[in-house]
Amino acid sequence: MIRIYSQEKDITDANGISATGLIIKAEAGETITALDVCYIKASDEKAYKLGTGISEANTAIAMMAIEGVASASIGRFVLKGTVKYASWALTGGKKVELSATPGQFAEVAE
Amino acid sequence: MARVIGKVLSATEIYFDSAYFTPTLSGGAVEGTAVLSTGEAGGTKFLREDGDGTSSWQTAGGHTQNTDTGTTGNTFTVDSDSTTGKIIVDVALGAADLSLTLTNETLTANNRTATFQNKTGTIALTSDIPPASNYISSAYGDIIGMGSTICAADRLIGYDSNTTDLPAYISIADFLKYLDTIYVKI
Repeated sequence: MIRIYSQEKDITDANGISATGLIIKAEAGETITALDVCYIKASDEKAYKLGTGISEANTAIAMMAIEGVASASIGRFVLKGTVKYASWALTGGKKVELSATPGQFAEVAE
Repeated sequence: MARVIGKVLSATEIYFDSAYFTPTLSGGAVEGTAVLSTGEAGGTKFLREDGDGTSSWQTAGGHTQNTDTGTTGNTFTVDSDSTTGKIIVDVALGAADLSLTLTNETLTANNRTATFQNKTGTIALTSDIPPASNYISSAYGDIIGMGSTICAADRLIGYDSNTTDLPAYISIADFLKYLDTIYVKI
């Protein structure tokens, strides 16, 4: 079951991950690492890592985990908003796309 | 192209949006020229529907000789939007390709139809056939065609300058009178 945890509220994780926007809580169907790109599988309504090879890659609601979540545990995910992480070394202006590796994302030139 | 899920705002920050530039964002009306083909090369590929709901770039095959098997009527129309339509058959001759062109003079009033007989053979064409207003010369005189400026349309051909056996031209009725006296001069 999906529950909206908060909206437009800053959340700062102990690992230095902060997020602002629409944040929900969901049960993980597998072990999820913080900052993994995930989706809710329709069959069991649990969160799984999302990649281009997943059949629902273009249709499922994508979200980003802002904390590590063990399988069958509840974790927080950003549906829409900004996510900050001090260890990232990204290039401003690039698009963020799904990666072939489930959970990862790729930077692509605009 | 993978699904876009956000944009990098800075080195340490991204804007994440599940609906960011998703395929359905524009209502599915994506212009064909907007489809990217990064990662593909050669300039010969086409985007094919794979039959399973996905599409993929495919290498175009070689030239295929085509027969229009989809035409079920007895008429095949080439609308050239020109006063002189052309059907061109390119053929090879050594290193130089030549063209056989089927075309028409400019039609002025009526539709024209060329009908082939129920025969197999070769159509022999020559550029020596004179027009209707001209005549064919022979060693013994001139044969004048019906409808020419000399021979009226209701007159028969038949003229020999070396003899007065036949008038320059005669009517069909008179021709019948001469039937028993006409001879071939050799």
